[in-house]
Amino acid sequence: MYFDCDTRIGRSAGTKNLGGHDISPETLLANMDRIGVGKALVFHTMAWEYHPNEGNAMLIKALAPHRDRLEPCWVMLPHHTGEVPHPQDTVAEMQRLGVKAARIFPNFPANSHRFELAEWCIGEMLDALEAARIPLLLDFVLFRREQPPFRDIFSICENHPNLPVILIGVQARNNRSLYPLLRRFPNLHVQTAGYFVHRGLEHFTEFFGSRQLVFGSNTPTLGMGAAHFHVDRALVAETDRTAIAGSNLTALLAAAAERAQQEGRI
Amino acid sequence: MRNKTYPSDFDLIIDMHCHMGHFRNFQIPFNDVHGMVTGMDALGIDIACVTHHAGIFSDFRFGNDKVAEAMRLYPERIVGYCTINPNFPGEVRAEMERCIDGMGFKALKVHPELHDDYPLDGPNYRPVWEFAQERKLPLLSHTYSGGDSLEVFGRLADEYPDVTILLGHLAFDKGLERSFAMVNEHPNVIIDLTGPVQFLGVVERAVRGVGADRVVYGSDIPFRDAATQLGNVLYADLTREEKTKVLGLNAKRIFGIGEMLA
Repeated sequence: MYFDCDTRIGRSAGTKNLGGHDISPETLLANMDRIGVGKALVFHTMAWEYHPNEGNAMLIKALAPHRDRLEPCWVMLPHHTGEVPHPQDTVAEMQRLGVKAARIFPNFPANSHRFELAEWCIGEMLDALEAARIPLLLDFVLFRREQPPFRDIFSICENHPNLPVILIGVQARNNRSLYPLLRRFPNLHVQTAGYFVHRGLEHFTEFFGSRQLVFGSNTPTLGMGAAHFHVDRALVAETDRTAIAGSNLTALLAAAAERAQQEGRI
Repeated sequence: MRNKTYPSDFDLIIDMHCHMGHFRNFQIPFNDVHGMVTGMDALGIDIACVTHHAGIFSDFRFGNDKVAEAMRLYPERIVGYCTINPNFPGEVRAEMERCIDGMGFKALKVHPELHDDYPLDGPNYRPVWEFAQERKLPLLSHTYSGGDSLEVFGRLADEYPDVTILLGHLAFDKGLERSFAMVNEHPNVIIDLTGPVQFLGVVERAVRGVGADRVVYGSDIPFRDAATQLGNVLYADLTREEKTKVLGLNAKRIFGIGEMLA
């Protein structure tokens, strides 16, 4: 089963001449049915384009009738300004609501949330997520020739070995820095659609196996059909394709659910 | 064996914007012609129209020779662009004759961004436009945010009406609607989807904006993977007839490559 780690609902303003989108849970599900995607991890555009406090609440409400197929993913911010609760409280609330993944936008252009990916800024958030085994989707909203801040990613993965990190939108040009990180940190994962290296899924799998690849489409910025086609036609073994398509993400979320259960939050 | 099972079960898929070889800025897996053709087979792509990375960077003659070698290895799968560098003007005419007349290349490629931002309407590019006009050749030009304006493309299209100008990357950085307007005003300009087609809805907007006869599919392989772009055409909200044109029929007409498919 294909399980998409990277979708969003809600109404977006539009960017880079691409136009806006307005995606309801029902639209998303219809698209998933058309393409052959069974489940999706979803965040709300309002949590990215406006504020997580509003967007995360909207998400829980919107997904309520569809939780069998649509899993919520909350967007998080640093707590130091008082605009969001302390991360321990946020994570406890996530566990109570069955939210098993978090996403942050720690970059500086206007389409990001403008904070440092560093211990002194979000260390407590990372500690709380790590303790709960909640996967963290790192979205730098990269474009074309840009690269993720690999030194910061190194530090996070080193300081939080039990925090699953999923890099969103790695782009096509970054293997020379990405590969040593993947070799060193088993908790580092890569979302597929934004990793559009030529025959990259195949090369990645030859070097590292498939455990660190997670199917994600970045719908509706990119296309879910294209992301599915990318994985479906990759020249990898069927066992690897199954892992990439869904079982890797399923296992990550199951670990978060298990931890929440152990802590009596669900 | 080319994979033509659903959803890529189109009789003809031509990728009209491809490269080949290493690139200094980053590692490219499987970047030789064998690696490219293996990837094309997996996705159902029949033909790649290729300029070599060495051609858009350090040595266009070396790059063109590499393309010629790939054409010899895969005569039914590889179409050559003759790439020229305007910073070596004394070699340009002879190189175009060598590639087009001597080695069977089908089109010209210019990349002003990697050739010192040389202006497309500058004197050193004039022999290229004149040669393309003389031979009625297609010419693919890269576009980029700091590069020549759409007005320059429009003027060149008027000056050289027998040249089919392939507007690289849809001139995405100039704005989709502005690109469509320029293309609609110049019948010899065609939209190359390479790059922006990765974004949801771009192919539909292009076809609605300029018509299905004026849009061609490209991917930039092996600069990047083809699947995340091709998939957006295959799953697009277009008719099968429109997709057939965008994926192959338009490029077949523009490049005159019917004989390769016989």
